Amino acid sequence: MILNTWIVGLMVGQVTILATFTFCVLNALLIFLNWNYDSSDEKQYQLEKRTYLVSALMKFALVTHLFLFSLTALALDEISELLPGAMCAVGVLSANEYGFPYVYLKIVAVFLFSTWLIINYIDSKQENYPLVSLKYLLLIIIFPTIVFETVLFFKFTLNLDPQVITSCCGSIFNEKNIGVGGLISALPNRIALPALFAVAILSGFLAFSDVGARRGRRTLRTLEALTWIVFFILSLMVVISFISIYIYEMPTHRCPFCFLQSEYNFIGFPLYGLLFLAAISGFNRGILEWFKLNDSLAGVISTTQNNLGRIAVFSVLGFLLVGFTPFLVYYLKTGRLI
Amino acid sequence: MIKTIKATKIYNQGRTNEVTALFEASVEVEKGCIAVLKGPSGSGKTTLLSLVGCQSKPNSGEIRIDGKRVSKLPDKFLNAFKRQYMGFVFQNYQLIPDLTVSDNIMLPLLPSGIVFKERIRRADELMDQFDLTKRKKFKVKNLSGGEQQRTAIARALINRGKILLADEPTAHLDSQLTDEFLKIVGRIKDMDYTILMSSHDAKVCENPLVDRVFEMKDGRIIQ
Repeated sequence: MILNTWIVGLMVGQVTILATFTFCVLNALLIFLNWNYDSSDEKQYQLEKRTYLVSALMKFALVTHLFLFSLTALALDEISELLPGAMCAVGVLSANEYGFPYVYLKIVAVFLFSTWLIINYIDSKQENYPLVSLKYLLLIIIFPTIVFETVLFFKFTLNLDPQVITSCCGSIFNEKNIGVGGLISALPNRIALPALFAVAILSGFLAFSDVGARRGRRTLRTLEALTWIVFFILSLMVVISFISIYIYEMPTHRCPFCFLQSEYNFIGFPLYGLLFLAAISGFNRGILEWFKLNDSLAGVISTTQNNLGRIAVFSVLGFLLVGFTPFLVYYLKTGRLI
Repeated sequence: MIKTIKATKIYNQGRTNEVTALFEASVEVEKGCIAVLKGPSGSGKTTLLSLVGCQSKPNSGEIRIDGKRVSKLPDKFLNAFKRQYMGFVFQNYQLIPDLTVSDNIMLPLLPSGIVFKERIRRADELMDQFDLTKRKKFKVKNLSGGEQQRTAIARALINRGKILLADEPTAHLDSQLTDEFLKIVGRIKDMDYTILMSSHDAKVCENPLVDRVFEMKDGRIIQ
């Protein structure tokens, strides 16, 4: 067990989020079971007051969760100095079997929480709380994510042993390594890059496509949401197999974490930030189609979808600009590829 | 225009100092009418006015304005609704003493996004109507009681709402100023406003301008 400032800070953050979330879910359950907008009795007014509180607390918890995500990246880097063999966050995450599952779950949680925040935002734009029951049901459904995340986080941090030698990123993200890291590193760029651009074009095509029937539109937008998930995964692969080698200017170094460090001007933060923003906006743009329950909601949701679409497009362009600039600079400087 | 259905307001609910200020109060005021809430101090007049004025929400029951269930509106929408529909004249006017008459009158328009020129135009129009033009640049603290009240009324009308609420508007006025106030109320009624006032002044309650009197006692409408 390592109890340094970073870990203690993350523990406090994680527990705060879980506690807030738990309080909100208990209230959400109460609201979900008793909500009756048409009623003007005391109980309903109290629920309406309670929904403000839950919304405000959840906004705090979920935004803190997003903030903690970037803080985790910094913390893991700092902790790497305490573990023999670790050169960056990858070494820390691979120090026990809980590290990577924790990060994967955190990524899933970010997507789920962003959806909840957007639905909450849309609900707050309406006079009659049309999405209250749905959004609290969703909150109850996503609650286990934060519980598992907290469990994994504590399993991971409490099982960090400074006596055990861990692997470095060079060995994990190596073409010869048998594992996910090795597989991604060995991915040929002639497949990964065209696949990434093809998915991006497909997302764009789906975004501009429309069908008359509501059911057809839902299918179309769901497909669009899925393409953004695929785009996100492919982008991470391209970051490891292509973008990273130009950032490090080394053919064998493919770590997706080292470029979060100051030596590489923290380029990883805008790179991942824009990727997350693009994928989350695009994903939610598609998912929102399912919440067009009436004409009034359809209007607000369509506006939100347009805004999310714009955010997604600009974020993708930003991601490509940040990610491919090292490649262009290298190519212009040397006239060759790595 | 104004309808309350079994509106109940309890302050400090669940605490030792719990007070039921209003209990199942149902009133209805038609558009363009003047209604007065009459009753002794502590009878729930101000509470009912604050519910109708969207200043607070009932614990149970409904408040409907122009058919809209305002008691169910989320705060964000309630504020917008209040700005659009309501004008309030408070018992002690609640003017800002160090601002001029003109600035006090224009104050409610600040969050509405109305351009400055239009604000000035509306304020000038109201000052002209209420004989305040000569006092335009005077600080409110230097005005007489009657002038302060006219300023408060002008401020309540600047948003061009549909409802004017007044809480004990004649409490600090002498007989002559009360007459003057009632004349102004008559003019406002002619502007198609619905007016709801609280008062225990017989001169107000028995005035022929008043269409309806609701008598209150211990938080209940008794007549």
